[in-house]
Amino acid sequence: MNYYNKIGAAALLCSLASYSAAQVLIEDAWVQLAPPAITVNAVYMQIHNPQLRPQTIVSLSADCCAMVMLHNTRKMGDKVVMEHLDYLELPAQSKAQLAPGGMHIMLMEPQEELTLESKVKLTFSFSDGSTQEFDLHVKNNDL
Amino acid sequence: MLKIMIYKKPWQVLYPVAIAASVGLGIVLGMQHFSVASPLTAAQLLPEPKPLTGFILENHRGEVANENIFRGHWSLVFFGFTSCPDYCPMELQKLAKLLNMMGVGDELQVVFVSVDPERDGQEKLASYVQFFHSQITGLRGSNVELASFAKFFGAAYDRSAILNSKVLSIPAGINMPVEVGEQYQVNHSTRVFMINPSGEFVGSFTSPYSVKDMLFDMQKLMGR
Repeated sequence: MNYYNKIGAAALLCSLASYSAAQVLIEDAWVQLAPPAITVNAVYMQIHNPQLRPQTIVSLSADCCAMVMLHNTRKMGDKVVMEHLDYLELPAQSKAQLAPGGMHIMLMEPQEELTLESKVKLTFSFSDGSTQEFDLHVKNNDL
Repeated sequence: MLKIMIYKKPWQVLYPVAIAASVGLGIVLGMQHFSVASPLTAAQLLPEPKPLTGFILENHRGEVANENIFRGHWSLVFFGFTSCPDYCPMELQKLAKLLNMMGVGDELQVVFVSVDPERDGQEKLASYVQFFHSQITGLRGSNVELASFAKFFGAAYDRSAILNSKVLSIPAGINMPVEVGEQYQVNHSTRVFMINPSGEFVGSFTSPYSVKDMLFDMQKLMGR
């Protein structure tokens, strides 16, 4: 393999690596402080997929809690229902809003009650097998 | 050229007077009607107030709660459950903000009715409502009593769980089967119901509403 072939192969490997590594950006992310003795916390954020291809989050986990789920609050007539979402598809170069009264991540069964001092490490698992971690703070935000 | 109306019969002179009087009366009655109804921005009033009687629940302090808790002040009633991570905290924050903006002491109370008695014991309900505002009263009761109380307002709710890979729907008034455990969902009404100081259900706010609109309407209804 001559010099130029080696350079070309390296460039191809680099581009493949960046293609397979799922990467999203998050903004305005926080864990909502729950009232005392309540063992469910909502997580809100904006997720941005800057890639030129769609990405799908297929599961979630957090170091604080036994269960993490993706839910959507939906109004049906005068009633509000909470739907479980199996995955979150992020089209190429799109943004998804996880906001109060809509889509949100639910942290359940924490090992310890989450307080304003708690730090939560949230992990997204993507359909291509890759994962991405985020450090989140707990806040008592105005919803 | 000046035209003079000539009436063939003497009583015909009363026609224009009658017409003018009718128009005037219509305007006055219309103004009286709209001075009550139209200035409200978000509240929907019932055609007739509906007296609230014949229920026995328990408040978050463990005391008996009947229709007397609604007498002597305005009340806003919301149905939900404490394990609700998203919608109920959002609504209770709004209602707490309203209480702060009203600054009325005992003239207005917010009542949070848990429709999930199996998971929402008295102590849990107490710490939950107090987290949002000291003027929020929590109510709980048996499934039968809660269903009857909610039905009075037309506040629909039900619960659903997955048991043995099947979706189980538990209507209002029915106890949650023990084998379901703690993981289930509660689907509940989004309305905030208004009760006047005579203990009568008079109307409701339907979601989404702004605190600003609710403040305006409550001040109007409370004559402030």
